[in-house]
Amino acid sequence: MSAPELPDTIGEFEVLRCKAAGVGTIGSDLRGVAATLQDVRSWADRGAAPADWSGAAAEAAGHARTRFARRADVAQSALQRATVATTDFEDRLVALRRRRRPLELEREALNAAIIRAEQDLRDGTLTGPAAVETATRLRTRAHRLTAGIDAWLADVEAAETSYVAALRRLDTVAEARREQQRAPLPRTDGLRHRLQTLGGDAAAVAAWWRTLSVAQRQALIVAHPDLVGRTDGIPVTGRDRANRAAIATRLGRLQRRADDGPITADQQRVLSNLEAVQKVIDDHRNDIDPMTGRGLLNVIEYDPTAYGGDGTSIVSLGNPDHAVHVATYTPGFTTDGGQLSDLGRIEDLRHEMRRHVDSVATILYESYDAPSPDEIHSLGDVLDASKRDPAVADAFGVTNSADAEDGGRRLAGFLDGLDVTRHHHDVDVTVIGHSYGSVVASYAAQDAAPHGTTDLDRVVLLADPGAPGSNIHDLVGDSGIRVYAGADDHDPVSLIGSGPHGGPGRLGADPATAAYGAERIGEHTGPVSVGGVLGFGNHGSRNYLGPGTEGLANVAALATGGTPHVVAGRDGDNYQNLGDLTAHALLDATPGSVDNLLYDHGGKQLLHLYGDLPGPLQRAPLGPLAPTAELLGTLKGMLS
Amino acid sequence: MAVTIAVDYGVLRETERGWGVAAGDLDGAVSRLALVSGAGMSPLVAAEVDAFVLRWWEETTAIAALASSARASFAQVGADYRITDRLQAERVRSLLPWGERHDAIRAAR
Repeated sequence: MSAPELPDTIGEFEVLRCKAAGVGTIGSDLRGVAATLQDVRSWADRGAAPADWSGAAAEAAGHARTRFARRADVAQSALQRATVATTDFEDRLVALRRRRRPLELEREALNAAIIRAEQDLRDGTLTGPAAVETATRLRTRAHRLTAGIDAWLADVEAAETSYVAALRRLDTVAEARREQQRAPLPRTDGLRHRLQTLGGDAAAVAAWWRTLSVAQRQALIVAHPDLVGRTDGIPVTGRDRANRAAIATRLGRLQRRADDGPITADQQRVLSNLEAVQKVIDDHRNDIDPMTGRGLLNVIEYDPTAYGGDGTSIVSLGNPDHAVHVATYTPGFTTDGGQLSDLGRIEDLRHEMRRHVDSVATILYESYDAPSPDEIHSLGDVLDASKRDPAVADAFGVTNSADAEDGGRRLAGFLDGLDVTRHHHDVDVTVIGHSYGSVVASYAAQDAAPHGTTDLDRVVLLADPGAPGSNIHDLVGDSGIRVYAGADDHDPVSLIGSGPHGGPGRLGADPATAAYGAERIGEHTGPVSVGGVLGFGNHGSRNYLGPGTEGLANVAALATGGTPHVVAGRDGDNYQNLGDLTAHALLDATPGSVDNLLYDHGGKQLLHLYGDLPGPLQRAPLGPLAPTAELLGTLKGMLS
Repeated sequence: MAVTIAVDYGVLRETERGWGVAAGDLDGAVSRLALVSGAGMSPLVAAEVDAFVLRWWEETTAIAALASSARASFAQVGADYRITDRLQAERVRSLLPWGERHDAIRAAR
């Protein structure tokens, strides 16, 4: 009896030559041009002969602006159609990439099984009916796999051919005009009105968006990119496409204006923001999300003009609609939303999280009115609630919670939007706040907890200057949201909240205290330095999420469902309050450095806050200062 | 002989501004299109993307030139609406909104 015939091993089959991320970039660029042409065409249309003009054709033809409008219309429609085709091609490539993976895994497994069976046949350990059955089973698998690969290859070819055909239909102006007459582009007035009507209801927006065709979605994005880009309930990919188109149009316009002559300071600030976000987009142009095959960076919201030119932004690395572990980081008073200056934090966090799991998205949330970094110089600035100087008006945001409450509501709304756009429900969501951003994060948790629509698992409050309520029950009730706090005992910001050992408490309670009831995660305690304490803005020279830090490791562990290093919360005996810390810092400092730092960092303002200046500090300019027992006693009394 | 157009000054300047914005926007679109490339795609797709982009880069460039030319035409209209000749006046008038297409062109005094 001859040996049963085994199938040949299956050779490698081609990888996708067109990458979804690359096609996405082409789509973004074309969409940006289409959006710009849309603006030009709309303007020209307003002064052109009416579309239903029934008078002499020659009269309309002789009107140069009408001719211009018609020509711009053809170009715009061609670019928009190309955008639709490119988007469709990108989506097909994503699906093809997803289909290829199991085919490749099966190929590897089948080849291993064939090689093993060949060896067993040679060794004589596989004989008789078992050999026949094994060979039959392997041939069936090989046949099925080959058919699957052939179908996949055919679909790749079909996708490419379809895309090429769509572009070829727009090869000439005449062809594009005929295409426009044959199949006019979707009108957007009704779509825009519907989106605006649904705007506050993320679930309704998501349901409605799913009913739209690719052409309708692209038409809406091209015509109203700002609206689509900021609306919760629209999938992240759609918002990213819209925001990139809006950024391209605005940036191009402002750059031209700047080239033509001087622009105002406000315009210069907006231009600076737009250039910053465009640089981020360009820097990530070749970065691919391994989970989806699309681009890694998503611009989920961007407004370079918000809050007097500070700007707001929400960007992600990885797609939160697809990732299993989603971590949202909201920075504090050193943030500058328009500039995306804290992007490195979510890059580090993503890198650290991916040491534990693959499916990760990290989000930088800067969509609230953060106190501007250039207006916060010192602990004195922050604590001086009685100050009414308009020049530092923004600094008052740090000493009251109104902006944080508003930011928290917005963050909760954003998380609600993600709840309805994500593709699966076994998701793990963490919100991390730092400094004033942790106040925002805590209000978001408080907002999310009662109605339970936000799938929030935990909130991490780092260097929190004050959380609402007096304990975690006041914050999240019985919602099950876990609350963690991280604080360096030598970071003055983290000592602003009220606790058993004092603390000004203008923004709320210190969540790192045992009394508050949060789980306190381990943080390296840095050295005490007078610069670190009086130079409020640098958090005692402390970087909570820096690469290699215990803080980053703990937060990454939490955000991937792991266990952090937990330590005892602050109580009456195991930490210095703000007054003790400040006195400690001054005691350790040299007289000259104290003098300079008080002057440079506005410590003199700080001392004004709680009483009369101690005698040695009343001289102006300040002379050499030696920390006396009298001075230290006064400081402690003022700050405790 | 110099001529004038009987058009509201605000309309004239607003239209000039509009053409200026359009020209700037279109210049930006031209620059952006120039960056689009099919590099990295399959040969079939790359060739078609590049051909498409070239075609519409040329057309957008031509449209941008029209807008720039229109803006330049307005720049020649002085504060007293004086224009070099009737031909130039008719050109400017046809660049105004449709509702102004019958505005009178008169010989300047």
